[in-house]
Amino acid sequence: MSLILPALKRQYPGNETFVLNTPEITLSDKGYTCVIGRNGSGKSSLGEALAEHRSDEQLWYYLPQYLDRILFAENLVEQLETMLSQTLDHSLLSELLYEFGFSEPKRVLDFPFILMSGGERRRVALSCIFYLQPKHIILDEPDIGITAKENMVLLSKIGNLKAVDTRVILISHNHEFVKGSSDLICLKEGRLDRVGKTDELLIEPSFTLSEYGVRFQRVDV
Amino acid sequence: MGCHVQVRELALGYRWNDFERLVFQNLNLCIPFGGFVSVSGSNGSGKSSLVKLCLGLISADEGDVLIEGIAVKPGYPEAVRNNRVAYLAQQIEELFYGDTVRQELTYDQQGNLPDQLQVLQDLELEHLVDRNVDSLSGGERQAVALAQFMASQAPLLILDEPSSYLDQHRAALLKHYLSKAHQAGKTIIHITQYNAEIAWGSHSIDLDTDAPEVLEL
Repeated sequence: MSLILPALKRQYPGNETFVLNTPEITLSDKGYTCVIGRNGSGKSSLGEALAEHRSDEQLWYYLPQYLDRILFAENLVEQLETMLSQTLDHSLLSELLYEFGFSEPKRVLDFPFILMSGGERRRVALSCIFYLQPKHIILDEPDIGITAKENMVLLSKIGNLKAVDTRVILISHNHEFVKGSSDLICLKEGRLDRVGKTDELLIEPSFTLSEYGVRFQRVDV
Repeated sequence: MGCHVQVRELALGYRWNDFERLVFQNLNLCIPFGGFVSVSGSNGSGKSSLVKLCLGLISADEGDVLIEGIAVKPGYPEAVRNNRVAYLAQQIEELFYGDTVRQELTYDQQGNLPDQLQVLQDLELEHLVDRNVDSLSGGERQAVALAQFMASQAPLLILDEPSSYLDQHRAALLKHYLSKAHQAGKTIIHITQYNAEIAWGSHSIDLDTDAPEVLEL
């Protein structure tokens, strides 16, 4: 079944010139969607607006760029116990942490966030999301601070979510993420500029990813 | 050639309740004047900690950091205030002081507003100048901080994963700027974990494998 995103609007105090205003968007029935656009085009605004949109069919879990906004507890176990109000499966959580590159995952469970580096916090936050298994996930620049190897793990895990009908929207400048997506939402100045299946858009002569700020190698420009 | 930045017998660990994390032990490092050093390493290897030590944002357990032969005093980023060091942080959210981009650019009294405005133009950000900084996207925040950084006259540039939020165009401008700054004789310490970016520098340090040996570039 196709996924239909609602029409979204968002404006910020102190910025009368920028308005996110996107129409209802129909996406493929499988795979993940990439939102692309240059800095300030409204990618994160779309993610935040979608996460705030209340609907019985879609409740989106949003992982923001700035993790301090969501890692409110002292450590991972405390974070998840507060969120879930139930006993945790430490074994599953350790497996996820191991996949995301922690060689001693059990040590991470109660290790204070405050002693972790930015990249470690990002990997813990990603492990947290895959533990929670929401049906709708928005990942905003999830590759910030993590290595290419862990990016590949992330892509693989997102690919596996197809089997359980979890839908993912990935906000990224990273070509590795873009090329594996099923759909692209292309934003310019808060407006929907293009939308469609990735493989169809990529063969259109008039369509270029660089117009939307996509970086072909992570940082070699 | 002398050391622009010298790290001597540095030891650093973080502590929180019963937890402790050792980051450095006996780290020695000399970055010469005019050197362009890429510092890499896995998450938690101490890349950002090294930067914070150089800036005086945290204090070491043992040893010290000298910039131009003067010991960095913890808790007082003197070199940054005196425009001897320009710093571009990994996480820009914590850095803004002004309400608007213009106020932010003029906050640093030693900054040169016309230069910063020119850089904003180069970065295609001139339309942001009267915007409230709270309304900027992550990429725009990084780009405004980049404009401040690129307009600085400081002889030592320290960047901590600066390209994280930047799109293709702005990342290209940053690379070009660093290349020009290096040619002009500035010393650059560039923290990154991306192979392609490591190659931007003339020297590289991998904190996973090189520390804690003595590194003379």
